[in-house]
Amino acid sequence: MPLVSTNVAGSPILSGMTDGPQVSPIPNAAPPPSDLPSGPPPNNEPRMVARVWLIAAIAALFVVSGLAGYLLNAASQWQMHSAQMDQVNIDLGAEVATLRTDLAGTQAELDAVRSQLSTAQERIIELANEKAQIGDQREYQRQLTDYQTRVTDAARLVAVRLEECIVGQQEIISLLATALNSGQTSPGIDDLIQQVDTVCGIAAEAHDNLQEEIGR
Amino acid sequence: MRRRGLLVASLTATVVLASCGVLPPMPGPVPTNYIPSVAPPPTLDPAILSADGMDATRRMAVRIRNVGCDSLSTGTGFAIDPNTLITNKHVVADSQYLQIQTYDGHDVTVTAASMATLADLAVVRITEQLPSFPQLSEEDPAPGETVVVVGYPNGGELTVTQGEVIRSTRDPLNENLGLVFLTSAAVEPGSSGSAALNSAGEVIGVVYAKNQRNQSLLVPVSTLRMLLADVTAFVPVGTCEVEPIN
Repeated sequence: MPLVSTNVAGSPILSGMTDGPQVSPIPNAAPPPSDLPSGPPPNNEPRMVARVWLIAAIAALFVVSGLAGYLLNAASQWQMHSAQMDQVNIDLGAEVATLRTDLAGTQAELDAVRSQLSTAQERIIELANEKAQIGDQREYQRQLTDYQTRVTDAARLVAVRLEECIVGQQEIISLLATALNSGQTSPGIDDLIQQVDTVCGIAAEAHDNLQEEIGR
Repeated sequence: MRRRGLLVASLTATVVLASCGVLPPMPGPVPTNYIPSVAPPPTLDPAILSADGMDATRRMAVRIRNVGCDSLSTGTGFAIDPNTLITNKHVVADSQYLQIQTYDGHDVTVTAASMATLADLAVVRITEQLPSFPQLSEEDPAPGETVVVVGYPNGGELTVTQGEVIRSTRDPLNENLGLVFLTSAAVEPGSSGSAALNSAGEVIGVVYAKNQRNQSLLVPVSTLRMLLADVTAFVPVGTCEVEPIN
């Protein structure tokens, strides 16, 4: 099969081992005539517009695709988050319910303890008052005992002085009896009478003081 | 043509960027702790509570027993610091010894007692420390002010009564220098020496008497402050000696 090449104009050119007559080459293209008038430049604007719109549409498609992907991912993430939060809320709700039950029980216990505390406080005040009243009674009894002791001591002293008075008076009586029988007055009887009178006066005064003290 | 393309591109970019601003963000991690970092304020003030639940008003009061040579009387006192009590002069006067008991029945030991020369006030020092004592008010009370009296009327239970300050007046007993205050708070014998407190719990006076209209009389806190600031204003309380009959 002979090699065939084609020129720009599409005319076949024979080359190589041919046994046909030699053909002179034909020029590829005739030069344009220089006297032909030049036309307006070709209008490429519609193609450019179409290209811009194409690029914009492709860009918009990318953007929308990206947004859609993002939104799908976000929706999925939020859905998972919502599910987790729901579970947390359920757990917290259960915990709140338990705590409310515990709180109600604790509140009831607190009310009971408050009531007991109030009762205990009242009892503390009562016991302190009872102790105070017993202390008052104790001090009153102690004062009374001291007073009775002092009265007893005073009565004993009055008794002693009255006894001294009586002894002195008996002595005077004895001396007067002797003098009456013998007809002679004993020397010193006047001094004795004065001494006994003094002793008896003291005894009488002590007796009066005692009576006055007892009568108060 | 190229400008229009740039305009369209820039508009598209602007719209895209603006739309990014309204896009919902991705969710954060689920919180693991829902307890607030700042604790809520307590609903109860622990300062007003004591071990036995008694309030400070009662814990500062004491019952004073004046054991005389031939008499026995009771009055009230209150702490102004852990070891110092305030009461009336006539509560501690003419005593053989004093016996003091706290609100809960504990006995405390008296180490010294002194009385004012110009007012019906006395200071008693004790060994044990009292758990509570009020602050002295900076000013005397105004008419209409609430007054709370804590004391042992008739030597009985610790009692809290409330009234209002009526007015200041001259001392009808002539035992106090300056004016005294008249209040509607009910008191009885045995309430002498009680602290009169205002609504803030501060001492505004010391009860020392009552009149026939059941109104109580207070030594004002200004007198108490003035005397406490003067070390020479108090003299030791004299004690009586039991004398034998005859």
